[in-house]
Amino acid sequence: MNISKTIPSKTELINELLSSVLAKLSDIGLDPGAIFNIKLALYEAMVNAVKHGNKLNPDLKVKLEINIQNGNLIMQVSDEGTGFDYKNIPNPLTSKNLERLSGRGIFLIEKIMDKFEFMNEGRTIKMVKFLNKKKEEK
Amino acid sequence: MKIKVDLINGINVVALDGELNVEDSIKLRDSFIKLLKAGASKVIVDFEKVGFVGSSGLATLIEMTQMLKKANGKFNICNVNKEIRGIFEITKMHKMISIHDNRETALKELS
Repeated sequence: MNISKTIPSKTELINELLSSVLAKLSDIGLDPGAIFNIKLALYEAMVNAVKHGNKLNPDLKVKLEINIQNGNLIMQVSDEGTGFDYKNIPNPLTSKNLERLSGRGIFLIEKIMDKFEFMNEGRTIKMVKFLNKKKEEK
Repeated sequence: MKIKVDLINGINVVALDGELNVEDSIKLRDSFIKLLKAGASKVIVDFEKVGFVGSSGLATLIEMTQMLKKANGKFNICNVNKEIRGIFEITKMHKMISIHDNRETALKELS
């Protein structure tokens, strides 16, 4: 499986894109919980790319790439912004941050994916979901 | 997303039907502010027909809790599915918002 899609930076285009992508993933035989987590991780990554990466500039594009390698679902979302300091992301669970209205997207991705990493100075996020294996101990 | 509001014994029950994404979180926030301006002080959000909540939806729920608290009101949510409840637990939303298994117990809490 190889999926590669590019959209302009408009949040209203994300749902349609993810619907078509998730329909293609339905053949893999994932349980509803895994499908929910994949959808949520892709959604958060796409929203971050559109809003924070490309600053909602429709002239800048967001690219989604999905493939399966060695039993792992590999998902990459890339924007065309200036990147960001992904090494200093605040923990949304501290008492200071718990009631903040933002800052949960990447935290959620970390919790529901088996692996993730930033590349290209934060312009690309790579997320991995193990299709057959248990989550590795962190 | 469809948003339906019923007034039950002085409690505004906001039933959602759809996905709580970026756009629909704004719709929910707008509907909630209209309720507050109309004097609502007790609000329940019913998630029975909601299959997806993004972080923008979580933020909206937190903001609704904060706004009602300032207005000396009460807020809770009910009928959250297993997957969304999992997200609430990961983000510790359950420490900020009262979550009920069904509408009956949600109504009882605010009565």
